[in-house]
Amino acid sequence: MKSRTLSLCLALVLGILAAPALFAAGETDAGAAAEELPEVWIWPTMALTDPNGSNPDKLAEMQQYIAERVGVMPNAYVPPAKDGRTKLNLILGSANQRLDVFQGNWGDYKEVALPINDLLDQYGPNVKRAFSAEQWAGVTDSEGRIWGIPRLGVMGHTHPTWFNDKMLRDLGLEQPQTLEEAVATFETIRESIPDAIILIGRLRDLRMALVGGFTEYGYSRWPDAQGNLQPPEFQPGYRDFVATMADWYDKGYIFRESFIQHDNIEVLKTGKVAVFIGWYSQITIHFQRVLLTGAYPDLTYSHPNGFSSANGLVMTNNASPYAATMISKKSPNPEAAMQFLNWQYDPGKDNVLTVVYGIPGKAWDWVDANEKYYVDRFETEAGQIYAGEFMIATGLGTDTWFAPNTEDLKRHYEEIRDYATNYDNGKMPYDFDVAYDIAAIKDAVSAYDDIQRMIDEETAKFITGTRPMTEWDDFVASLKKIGIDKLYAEYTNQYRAIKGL
Amino acid sequence: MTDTALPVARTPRRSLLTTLHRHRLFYLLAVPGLLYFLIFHYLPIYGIIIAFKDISPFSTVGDVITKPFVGLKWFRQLFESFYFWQIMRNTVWISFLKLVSVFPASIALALLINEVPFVRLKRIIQTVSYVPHFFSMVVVAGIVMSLLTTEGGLINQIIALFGGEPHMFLGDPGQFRGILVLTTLWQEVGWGTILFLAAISNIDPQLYEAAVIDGAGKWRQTWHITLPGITFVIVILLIFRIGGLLNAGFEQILLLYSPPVYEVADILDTYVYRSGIESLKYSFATAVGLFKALLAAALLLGSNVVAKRLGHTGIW
Repeated sequence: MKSRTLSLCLALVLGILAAPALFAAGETDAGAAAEELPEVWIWPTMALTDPNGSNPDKLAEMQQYIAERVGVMPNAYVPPAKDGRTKLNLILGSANQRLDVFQGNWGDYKEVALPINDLLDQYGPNVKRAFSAEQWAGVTDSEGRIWGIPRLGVMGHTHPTWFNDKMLRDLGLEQPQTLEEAVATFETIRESIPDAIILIGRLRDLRMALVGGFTEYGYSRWPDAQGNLQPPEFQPGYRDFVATMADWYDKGYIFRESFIQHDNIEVLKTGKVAVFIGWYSQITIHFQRVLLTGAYPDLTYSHPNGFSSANGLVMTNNASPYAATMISKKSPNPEAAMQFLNWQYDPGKDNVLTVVYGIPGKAWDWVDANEKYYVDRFETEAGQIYAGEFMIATGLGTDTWFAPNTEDLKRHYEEIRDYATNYDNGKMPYDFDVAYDIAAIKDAVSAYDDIQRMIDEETAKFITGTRPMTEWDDFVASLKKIGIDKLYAEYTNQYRAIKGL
Repeated sequence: MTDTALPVARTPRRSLLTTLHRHRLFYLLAVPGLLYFLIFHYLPIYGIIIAFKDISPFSTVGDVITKPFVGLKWFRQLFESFYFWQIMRNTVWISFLKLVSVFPASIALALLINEVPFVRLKRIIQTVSYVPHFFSMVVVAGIVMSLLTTEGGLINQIIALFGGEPHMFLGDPGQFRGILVLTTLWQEVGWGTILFLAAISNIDPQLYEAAVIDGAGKWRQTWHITLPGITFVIVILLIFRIGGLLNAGFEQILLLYSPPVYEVADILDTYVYRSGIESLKYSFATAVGLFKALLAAALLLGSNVVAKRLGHTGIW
């Protein structure tokens, strides 16, 4: 009896061990039978219109629609809510799992990405047309290899200075057009509203938004007399910028918690924010949604164009050349991947809307077929829609092409359309068209992260008064001690190599 | 004097193979468990060599074996960091502060809960004290931020009520570690009582009855019966906690810290997150992980030896 029981247990254990192998064998057979059209596997990066993903029938319908038009069968992974990048990297490193198109910083993915120069020439005319020469420069290395399709490039819309329209209107003030006017206006506001504040999203936002008002190059690497690149912190006028911010902080102008963890939207809701300096979508999406609740009537924010000072434009345009859409080196059919991308970048705009919302005419349509800008969605019910898994043409190449005809998103898209590639409102970073090999720089200068930490930490301390401005020279000396000169020598070498100097 | 010792009955010696064969079904049943540990716990140890090579996240298993060794490059990078000693100091100090506050507080709470005479009330208290443990750290960080903000945070409102000035707690290097410790105390003190309460329930009730007859009050009973009765659990848990001294609470700090408090808050794990994981420097991250594991093993072994020398039970 005992022996029988043991035998049964053993059989059960062996059965459990054998089961996965049997199931795996079944999967392989089924998978082999399905290969007809070339497949393209995508790692989606756009926020899906339904966080739970597409309705399976709608997804199949979209696959069929695309297959008929492009001749490829699209498939998409579902990224996990947490730690998606790790899973992406594991798939890219896997010998068995297929992935053709993904996004990331191309400098990090050179080992697994395919240079796409030839693919672009042969299969990507629409893709090539969608970006400026400067944007292509951002994804091209010193040897001329193009590592991906630009996602962002130089952006002119990310860091304007936002003024509280209601405060200005209530006090009969004009929106300031210069930094000097802004200071005077803010001080006038404070006379009537003593707790009015300047809210800053993060330290980087402050630098991007205002350093240009104090320096020649804005928040940018800059050339010294010998043509060697120098850090923005060593630029003439930068110390004045920090000292002025420290003065504003000391006077209570700047929101006290600006440089620690805080929730911008909650602070904006208090109605005390006279000036907001932060990433634009905080206003154009997140606060816009708050406004639509109707709880904060008239509490709108807008920004001047060409906001300047005695030193020229105050904002620095945001050069972000590294984000790219890449084709995996292990893609068995990179041509099909490029054909699918080229189809999405079709200048007729319909295709990109299709991969975002679904079948044209059924899931969406243009509000005005001639204007082709605002889009009405017809299918919005969660669980019943195609959620946008096949959209891989995200970024400035297509973000300026359309706007959803809904109040919560219209403004955001209009902001991108009007300012993203309008570089007249900010200073262009000196090396905006140079994409450094950051991995190589970090390899050469192991203190790279320490230097960044010291800059962030000590700048915040100077501004908040934890460290007196009289110690600025000590700070500069500390940066030199841990190797900032070596770091910028590396930047200079790469800059010269890329520019052919 | 004759030797009166009885002859010892000797079991006939069996060869290992005979024993294995005789109990083959039991051994076969153990095979899956052994395979599990071999495959998922012992074989992955080979991954340690990543710390001595230059491995990217996309490298294959073959690359891990065939890529050339880079010696102690990643360890040197860690030790040569301008902030290395500050980071080590923060890691150990924050962890130590949490240990000396949460650990004794859990024991004290367990003793207090044990004294609650009504079973239902006791269970309610236990359940309520366990609840914060299950909160996601993101939620806890949100609660902490909303309590401490200068814009309508409860704590600052209370300070204002008494005529004080709002204080930026999360940006004050002098207060930041205290906030970490208090948050951990709130979240973990209840959960920490479970093993102590289980140990207390195993103490022979006759000891308490005898103590009552001898005239011992509650305090004396606690001091002379309850605490000695759970000493072995206290020692074993303390050894484990000391072994985990380099885990100072990565998620909690990552969600609450900012540049103004880096000097008191940046720990090994946050440093690795910024310098290793975000930059995809997996070899560097592995090297730091190995460094932490070796230190943790040394602490664990050291505390085990100390506990044994003091006459307590160790974990070996």
